[in-house]
Amino acid sequence: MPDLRSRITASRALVLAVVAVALVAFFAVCSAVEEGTGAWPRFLYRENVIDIAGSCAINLILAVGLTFVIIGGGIDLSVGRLIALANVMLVVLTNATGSLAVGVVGGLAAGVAAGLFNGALCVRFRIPSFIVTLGSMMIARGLALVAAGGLTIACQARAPVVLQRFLPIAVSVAAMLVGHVLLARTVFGRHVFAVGGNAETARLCGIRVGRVRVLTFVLSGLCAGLAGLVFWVRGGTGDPLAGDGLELYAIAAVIVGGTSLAGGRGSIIGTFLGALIMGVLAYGLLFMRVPTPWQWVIIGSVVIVTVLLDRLKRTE
Amino acid sequence: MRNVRGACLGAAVLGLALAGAGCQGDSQPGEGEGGAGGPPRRRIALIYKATTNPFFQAMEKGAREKAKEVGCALEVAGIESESDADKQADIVRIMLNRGVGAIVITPASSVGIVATLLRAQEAKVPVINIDNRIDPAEAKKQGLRVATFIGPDNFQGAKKVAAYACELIQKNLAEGKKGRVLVLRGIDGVANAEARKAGFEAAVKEAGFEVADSQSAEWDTAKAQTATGAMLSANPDVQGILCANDKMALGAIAACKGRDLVGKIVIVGYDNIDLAREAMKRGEMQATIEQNPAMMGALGVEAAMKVLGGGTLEPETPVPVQLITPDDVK
Repeated sequence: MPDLRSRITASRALVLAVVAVALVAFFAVCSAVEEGTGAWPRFLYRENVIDIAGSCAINLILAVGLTFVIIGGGIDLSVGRLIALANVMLVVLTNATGSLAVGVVGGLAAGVAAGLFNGALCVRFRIPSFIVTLGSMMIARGLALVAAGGLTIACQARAPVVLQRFLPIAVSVAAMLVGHVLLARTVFGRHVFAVGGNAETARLCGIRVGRVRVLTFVLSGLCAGLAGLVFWVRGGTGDPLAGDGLELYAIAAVIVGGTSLAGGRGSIIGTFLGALIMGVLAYGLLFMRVPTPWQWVIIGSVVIVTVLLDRLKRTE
Repeated sequence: MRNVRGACLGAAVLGLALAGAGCQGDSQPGEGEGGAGGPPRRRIALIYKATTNPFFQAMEKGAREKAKEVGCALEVAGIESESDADKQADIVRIMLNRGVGAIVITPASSVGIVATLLRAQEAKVPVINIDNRIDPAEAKKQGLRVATFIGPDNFQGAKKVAAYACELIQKNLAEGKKGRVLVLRGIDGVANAEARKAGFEAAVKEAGFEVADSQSAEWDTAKAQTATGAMLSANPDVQGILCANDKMALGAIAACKGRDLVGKIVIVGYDNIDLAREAMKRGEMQATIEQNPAMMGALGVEAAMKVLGGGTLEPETPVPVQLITPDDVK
C-alpha cells in the first residue's frame, strides 16, 4: 500500500528532530561563548527565535508545494522565480487598483497559472518536468522584470509592523498543516503517492494520472504565490529579483526531509523538519558571522550528512 | 542507539567545519559593554552588499582601521549577491538581535530595507546610511529617520568620467561626425544606478553625442559581457562604452576582446577596483572613478561613534570622488 510506504518512520523523524535540536543547541552555545558573560544566550532570545521562524517561512512554504511535485515523480525548478513573479504582480496590481485584495488575488493567481502551465506542458506533451520548469523559471524571471519595469517597486499598501513579523510564520504553519492533511489524509494524497510510485500501475487502478500530476504543479505554483505574498509582507516591496536560487534550498529541504527524488515516498512532516534544519543552519551561520564561502561549504555538508545518516540507518 | 550516535557524529562534523571556518568573533569587547538598560553598547555593525566586490572589501578595511583607532568593536556582514535584499534584511535583524549599538549600512534595496530598519529605530539603534542612499520618499512615508547619509555624489562622478570619455572620443572623431556610445547600467531602481545613468546621459548630451543603446547588466561582469556583445552586434559603429561599475567594464572588455576592438573603443568604469587598474595599465580601459570606499567606511564608523556619544550629525556628508586615468596607475 502506498500510504504505508509513505509514512515517515518514527525513527527517521527522530533523527531529523535530533539534528534540528542539536543545531539550535550548538548555535546557542556558540552565542553564549561569544558573549562570555554567562547570561542567557542571545540566540535564544524571544525576538531572535521569532526572527528564525520568520526567515524559515518562505523556504518552508515552497518546500511544502515541492513535496507534492516530487512525491508525484516530478520536479519544479521554477518556484524560486515564481516568488518574484507573484510578488511583483501583487504590488503592481495593488498600486494600479488601490486594492490590496486585488493584488493578493492577482499574485496568487499568477502562481497558480504558472503551475497550471508547467503541469499541462509536462502531461500533455510528455516533456520532462525538469526541462519545462527550467524554461518557465527563465520565463518567470523575465516576466517579473517586465511587470516591474526592471526595478524594485514600492507598494502603496503596507503590512502593519506586527504582521510583518508574525504573518509569514502563520502562513507557513498553515501551508504545512493543510499540506499534511491533503497528502496524508485525502484520496488525492494517496493518488499522488501512487502516481509517483508507479504511474502505469496507478493508471491501471483507474487513477487519472495526468490530472493528479497537473494538480501537484498547481499546488506548487500556489505555494510559490504564497511565498511571494510573504516576501511582500516582510519587505513591503515588489522585487523582480526576489527568490533567486531559493528553489535549490527548497529542494534540499524536501530531500533532507526524506522525500525520495524518485517519487512515491515522502511526507510533509519530513519536509517541515528538513526546512527547519536548513533554515536554522542558514540563520545560525549568519548569526555567528561565518564567512559566506564557508556558509556554503557547511550547508552543503549538512545536506549530505543528513541524507547519509538516513542511508546508514536504513541499511542497518 | 545508532541513530543518536549518528546524530552526534553529524553535530561533531558541523562543529569541526565551523571551527575550521574560523568563526571566532572578530569583535574585541568594547568599552561600556552594558546589558539592557545599561550604558549604550559600543558595538557597531557594518552591513554592506556584495562580499565579492573589492569596493566593499575596501570599505570594510577602512571601517576596521577606524574602529581599531577609536577602540570600538565592529561586526561586519555582507551578502554574496548584490540583489539578495531579503538576506540583507535578515542580517539587519540578526545584528539587532546580537545587540549592536548602531548600524552602518549600504542597502541592497533602497526601498525594501526601510521596513526592516524601522525595527532598529524602535530599538533606539541609530542608522547611519553610507554609499547607496536609502530612498528618501519611502523613508519619509514610513517614518524612518536616518542619522546621516555619507556618500559620494554619483551623478557628478558619472558625469565626470563620461565627459572624459567623450573628450577622448572627440579627439579621434572625423569632422562633422556625431559620437555614439553604449551604456551599461547597474540594477535599475537602485539609487546609485539611477544617479550614474543620469550622470552618463547628462555628459553625453553636453558633448553632443548620443546613446546608441543602454542595458542593465546588474553590476555583473558575466552579464555585462553578454549585454555588450549583443549591443555591439546591433551597433558596430559605436566609439565608447560607459559602464556604471568596473566589474561591468571588465565584462565589456571581454566582449570587445572577442571582436578585436580592445583599445579601439573607449571604455570607462566606476569604483577604481584593482582589476580595472590593471586593465588600464594594459590600455584596455581609459578611466574610472575612485569613490573612496575606505573613507566611507571610516566616516561611517566615526559617525556611529559620534551619535552614540550623544553628538549630532549633519544630515549629509559628501565624500569626494576623483577621476582615475592610466596616468594615475603607472
